[in-house]
Amino acid sequence: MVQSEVKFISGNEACAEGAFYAQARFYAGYPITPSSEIAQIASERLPTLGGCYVQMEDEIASIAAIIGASCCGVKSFTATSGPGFSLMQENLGVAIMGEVPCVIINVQRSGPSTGLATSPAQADIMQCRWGTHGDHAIIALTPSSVQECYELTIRAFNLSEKYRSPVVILSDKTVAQMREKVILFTPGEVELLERKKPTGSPGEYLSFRPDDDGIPPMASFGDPHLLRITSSTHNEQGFTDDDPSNAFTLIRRLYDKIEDNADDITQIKTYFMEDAETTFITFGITARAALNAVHKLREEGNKVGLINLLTMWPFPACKIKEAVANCRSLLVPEMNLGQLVREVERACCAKEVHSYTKSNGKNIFPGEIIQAWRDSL
Amino acid sequence: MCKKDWQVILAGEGGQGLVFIGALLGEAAIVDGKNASQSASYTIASRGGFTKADVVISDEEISFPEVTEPDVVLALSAGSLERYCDTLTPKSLLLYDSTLEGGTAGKNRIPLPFNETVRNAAAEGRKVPLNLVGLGAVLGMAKIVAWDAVRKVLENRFSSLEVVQANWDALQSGAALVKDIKIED
Repeated sequence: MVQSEVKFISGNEACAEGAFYAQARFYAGYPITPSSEIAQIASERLPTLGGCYVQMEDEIASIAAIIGASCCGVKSFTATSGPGFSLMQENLGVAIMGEVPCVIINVQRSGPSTGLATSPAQADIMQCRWGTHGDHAIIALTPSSVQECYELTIRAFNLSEKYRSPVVILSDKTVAQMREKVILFTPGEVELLERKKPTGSPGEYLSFRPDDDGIPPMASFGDPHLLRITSSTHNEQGFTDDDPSNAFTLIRRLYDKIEDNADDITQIKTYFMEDAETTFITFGITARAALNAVHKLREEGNKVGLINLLTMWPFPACKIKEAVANCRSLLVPEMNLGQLVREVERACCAKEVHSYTKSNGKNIFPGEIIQAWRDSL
Repeated sequence: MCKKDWQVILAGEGGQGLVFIGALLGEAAIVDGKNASQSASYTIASRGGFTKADVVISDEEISFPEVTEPDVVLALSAGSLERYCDTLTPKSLLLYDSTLEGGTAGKNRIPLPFNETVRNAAAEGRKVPLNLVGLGAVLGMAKIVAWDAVRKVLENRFSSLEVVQANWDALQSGAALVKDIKIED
């Protein structure tokens, strides 16, 4: 029997390992701090795995290339940080509209613009949700440890294939570049999902005719089944179509195939929630600070708990509401000026919600969360 | 010094190999059967600029990976010495290079001839990396991980036995600098 492998690696290395485990075999990217290790590892490893690494001229081309590779049937990914993720927004919309599975790892750093290139932040929450224009839905996963970087990257590819959708990993500088113990899976230990392929005759296949689950089977370029992809509003054949009822049906389906499956897609981790009177709700590196704060406050006999969001989008509103049903108040620490807290307020409008924000390129420390909790009493 | 949980800061300038020795220390702790995390802070300069590696080691799960209450700080640059010499609690151990200005030696504040060790070795034609000398002194003062575990990590990391031995010798020369120094726990 093959033994699980224990390694001491960084979050970025773990994302790359997760992608390779998920059978991703194409990477196109433009290296940028603090995501560059992913490009470096992909350039070394993919050729040895029968895959392909391409260093592109910029991030616009990077995401365009992975969309193209995925349309050829190869699981594909790229990695970047804020400035590059901004450039990717237009083609992120193409991937959403064309329903092209792909994974984009955005290692958040302090912005806006080039900002503090080597400093952490968690300020791309809303860019990730709404950065590309028009009504749409997106899936975004938020790791807080190196192990989660590994597991959520595998999950990102699975969700991407299952829902025929781009998936964003919203990492952050600290999680991406810290090293921790990680246990790598053995082959077959985790189920890997593949996109549905057309089963009928090539002549009957329509690129955008959904099954009952709202997701159309996807042929690959070069298959007998003809795959048409367009970024314009299109009908089931994949031809542009300006009929309003067709437009509404398409926009609604692209939205609903994600949002209606929030229960399947979203994950939260809860700590000490049995008797919690106050719950900290956060994600990424700040969830680690919050867990440390919870341990310290519990030692003093305070009834506090933690929800660590592993999924940011679709927002796990139902799971949060259920978990905090018996709590009196919520505290949302985050490394931005207050993006997550608004979603929490919307989901838990009957609760007393407190915000603790920090946006200076430094991590939130456990002591700050403890103080914010005391101030909220 | 002998403890169960450790918080270590390895500080200096970009290019000194601080993240490397942080990763080495963390990985050695994993080999030792403990939990470890190593995080880093650095500027946009590839050479120079304040840089540090934080290493947290524990028998328990590590909730927060950054150092909040350092047990040991290694300072290899004037900037890092300035940052830590007055802010550490008296219990924290500070090891710094004796050529740096601004340090005040005292209980748990120990200047050591790291650079001199490197220069003396160079005069004899031996290349001794400063970062490994510093880590060797840290490990000599504080029983954070077993030496065997450190050796094993070096052997895993470098295929050349010559390179393993050069790094090992540098660690030992750092440990030799502190072998007669005793501090109270």
